[in-house]
Amino acid sequence: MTLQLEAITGGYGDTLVHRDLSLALPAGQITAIVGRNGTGKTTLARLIAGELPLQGGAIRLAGYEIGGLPAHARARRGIVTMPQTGMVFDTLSVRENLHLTGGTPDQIARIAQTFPRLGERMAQRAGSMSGGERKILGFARAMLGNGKVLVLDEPSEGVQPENIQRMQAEITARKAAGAAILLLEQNVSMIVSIADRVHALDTKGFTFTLERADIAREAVLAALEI
Amino acid sequence: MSSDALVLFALNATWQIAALALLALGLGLVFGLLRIMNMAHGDFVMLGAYAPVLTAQWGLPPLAAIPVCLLMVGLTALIVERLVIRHLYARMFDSLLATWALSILMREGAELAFGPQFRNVPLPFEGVTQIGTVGYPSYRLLVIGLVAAGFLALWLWYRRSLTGLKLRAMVDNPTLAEGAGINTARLSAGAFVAGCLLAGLAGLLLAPTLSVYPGMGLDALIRSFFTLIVGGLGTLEGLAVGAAVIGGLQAGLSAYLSQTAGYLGVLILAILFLWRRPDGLYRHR
Amino acid sequence: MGSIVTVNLALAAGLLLVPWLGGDFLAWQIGLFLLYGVAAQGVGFAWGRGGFLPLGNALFFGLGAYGAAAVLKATEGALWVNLAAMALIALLCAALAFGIALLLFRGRMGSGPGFSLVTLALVLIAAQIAETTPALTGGFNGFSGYPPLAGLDPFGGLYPVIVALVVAVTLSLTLIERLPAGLILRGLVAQEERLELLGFAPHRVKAWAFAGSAGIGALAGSLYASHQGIVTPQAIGFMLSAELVIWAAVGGRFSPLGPLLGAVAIGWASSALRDTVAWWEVGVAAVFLLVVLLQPGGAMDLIHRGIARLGLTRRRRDAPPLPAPPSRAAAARGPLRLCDVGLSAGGIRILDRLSLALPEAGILCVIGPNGAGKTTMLNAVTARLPVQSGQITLGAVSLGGKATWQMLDHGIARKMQIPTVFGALTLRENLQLAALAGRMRGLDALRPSPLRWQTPPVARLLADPEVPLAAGLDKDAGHLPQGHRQFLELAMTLSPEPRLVMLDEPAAGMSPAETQLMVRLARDYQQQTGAAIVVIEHDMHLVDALADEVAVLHQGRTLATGSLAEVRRDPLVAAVYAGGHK
Repeated sequence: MTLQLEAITGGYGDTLVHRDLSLALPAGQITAIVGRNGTGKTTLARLIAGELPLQGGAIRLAGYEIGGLPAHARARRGIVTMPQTGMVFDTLSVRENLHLTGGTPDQIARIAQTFPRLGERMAQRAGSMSGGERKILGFARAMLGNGKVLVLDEPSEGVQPENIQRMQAEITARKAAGAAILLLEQNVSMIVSIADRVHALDTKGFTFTLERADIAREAVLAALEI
Repeated sequence: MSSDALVLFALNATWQIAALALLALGLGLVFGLLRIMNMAHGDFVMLGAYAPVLTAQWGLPPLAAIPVCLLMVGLTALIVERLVIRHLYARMFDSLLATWALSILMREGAELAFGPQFRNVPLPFEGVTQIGTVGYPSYRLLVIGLVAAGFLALWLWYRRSLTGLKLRAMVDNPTLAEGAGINTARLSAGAFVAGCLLAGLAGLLLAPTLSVYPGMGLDALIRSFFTLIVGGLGTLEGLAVGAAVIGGLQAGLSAYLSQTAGYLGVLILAILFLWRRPDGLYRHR
Repeated sequence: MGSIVTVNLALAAGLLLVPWLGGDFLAWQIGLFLLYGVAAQGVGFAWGRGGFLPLGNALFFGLGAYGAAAVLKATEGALWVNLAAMALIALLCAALAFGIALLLFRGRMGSGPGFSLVTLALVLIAAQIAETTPALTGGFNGFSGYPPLAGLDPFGGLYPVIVALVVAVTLSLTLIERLPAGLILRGLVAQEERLELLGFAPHRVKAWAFAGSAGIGALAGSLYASHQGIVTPQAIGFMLSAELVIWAAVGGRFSPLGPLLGAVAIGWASSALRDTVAWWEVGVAAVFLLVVLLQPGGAMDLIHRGIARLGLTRRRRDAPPLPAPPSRAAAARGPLRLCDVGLSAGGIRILDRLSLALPEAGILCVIGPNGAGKTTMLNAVTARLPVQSGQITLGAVSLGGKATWQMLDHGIARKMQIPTVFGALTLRENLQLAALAGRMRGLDALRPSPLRWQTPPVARLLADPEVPLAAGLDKDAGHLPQGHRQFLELAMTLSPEPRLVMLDEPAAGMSPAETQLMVRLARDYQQQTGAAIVVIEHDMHLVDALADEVAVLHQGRTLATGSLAEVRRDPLVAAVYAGGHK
């Protein structure tokens, strides 16, 4: 399903971070947003998830307006977010974390094969795992269930390179299954490897867009320095 | 000590423990699930205890006290959750103070509505059950049985249900829980109202054994607190253990020394626990 | 400074006018609530400034009252003896509170409700003892039959003494807010972990705050004894404790004047109207509830905002910076060594006989798969997690059994994986706190000039045009994006000029350009100070640019050490960790 942001406005109370921002996340595509710190990537993720109220504009999922729905209702319609921090339930076990997202036992077994570390630690409290392991668990949570729009906020931060490779494979597989994916990343290699389209964001809004053919390391770095 | 006295002491201690566990259950539920120290807990107990007083006044049959209690307490809790509690999740001190203000409000409100005088609630049925050579009030035995059965049922439900997992997830990380499709507003409102209803039922069941007056909530609150502290804030098993320790200690010290010694003993034990074992005797994980 | 003097002179003048305008009886009534107000100021200080809520402060009020009554009875009116004895009682109460808080906060108890409940239990115990030991306290009937302080008439000469206490307490509390001590308290509330890494012992800071709170309460209580002529268990009970909290909340716990205002306005009005207006108590409870819900700063917060809107607040001028005194963290102590360190948490073995020798100077990068124990190793060094076996030594000194706050004095500073900054403080205040770290001693907490200290590392960072800090010094640190927080936390970590710096994923959440800047800053610091730096990182670009030496961790052990090229050639390493870059 395609997610459409139409001139959305929002932020923290009186401090607006985004004004009239428009963006399309087409089904079966990986859309990446790059930009320096403070341009509002995380705020955008929170606006899509419904954690922050929309103060203007509309969000449409397959044409249906969901911008007024509370976060849990959006989640039930298939919008899945992996936040940058606090991406797991610290006091629950790894298995409970995965179970709660709606993962079936088969899906959980499969993701545990992809990330063997999770398979070994099913009964461990998520909060007692290392920062990188929690990132992987948070990522695995987002991959389970049947999310139609996946919003991933810095999934590779603090994750060892092998596991980043596995993350890329998972994301690409979900793309092939028709999900719309929004990737908010600082990791240029990851963006170059899998993104279909890159939007450059600065404090005033989107500045330019790179299509698949133009996505190369130098171009993305240039976008980051704006 | 003769064997009769021993049996009587054991029965009294069991009764004290059951009464404490019943009193503390609602407070423990609300704190364990929502991390809210409900200082108005005792006043919901008070409200429940007035249910039989009111049913008698209105000339209704004694059993009508149950729906009256559920309705009165449930509606109050629902309104309180909407107006006050909902805005204070994850603000522990503020929720403590707000429920405290609520406690004063309910106490003073009850005094205006019901008057300041003490009421006695008659036992719904008289009768003594013989245990060996000792006779013990049947009503108390019934309450002990109900508490034990209720605890077991709750424990089984919480361990198995998905709701239990969702509640734990919500307490841990409400934002992420919303993101996982959990309607946290409804879930927490439900948990708060359930905790208050348990407080009200405790008031209803214990009313015949207490004096009912607007200020009775404070004592109920403080006793519930110390039970929770010893048992560990937030698990059913811990609550039962806490009630056993506090109830047993108070019964023992009161029987052998004095009422004051029993009270001081409980306070000192509570301080020691808060200091050395802030998680209580029983830790869940 | 000017405004503090004005406010307190106005307070004194206004209060001294009361007997002139309203008569001695009114002054007597107001005097009682001024004394309660002073005790409430103590509660407000602990709660608003210290961040922990004491539910039993009538304990100290009551101890002061009973103590003063006993002294007055025993000494019969010798003024200086009385005053000295009352001051001693207040000091003893403060010492008692200090001890209680130290014991409680040293353990695992945070600022949460556990502490509040202990103080509640203590006041319940005290009240029970007061009620049941008539020989000592007069029991329910109260302790009476002693002369007032210096023979002063409670309806006359005592009132100016009460006003003097009110002004002295208000002035002290206002001054403390402007001193390093006040800043440290605000840091404590904002981010306890960072404060601890800056070398301040949180349990001691809280204990000082609680001691102040208790001492103030005891002083008020000791005058209360003279004011009332009788001390009953009511003065040490739970209900008074509760009212002190309500007054502090409604009046405004963040301001020294707030609790005083709350006590006098609500307390006095209640005593007058309680019996005539049936709904009065319900009304007070409703106001209390509304304040908690809608106006957490209380009445004083409204007043302050009103003043700000009228444009009456003066901007504080920035005094020129002073060079900071030398830091205790800068002395050389020898290299850090971990020897057979074992650590388990939650039933999982995280460090498994880990041994690692750090260079005395230079940069060591620690890499390894997720869950290898990299961050846990730092947690073991900074005593954030208890080590179960093995040795951690710094030169000839063992770090075993030391607490986190002691690490800075050993020259160890740390930047966390998720950056910790004082979110509710401005960037400038964040840096002021970091300038005190490792340099403050003795009574510096009570002198104004340490707030102007500037440290060489921070001066260099602020002068660097690429570092994104200098522009927003008056903004709250909580509003910074993640990447900028990293730089602020780095500045605070380097400010005490530590000999051993531990950086946990310093470039997380940073763009490649910011990452390069971070690399340059770490390199510069190492070259300027000759310190040792440990960096945990996954980005091989960064490791390549920074590392003098690399250590690979795997399953809680050191797998290999050497130059980056060497460890890359190691087949054992290649089997578990390939490496990549952003």
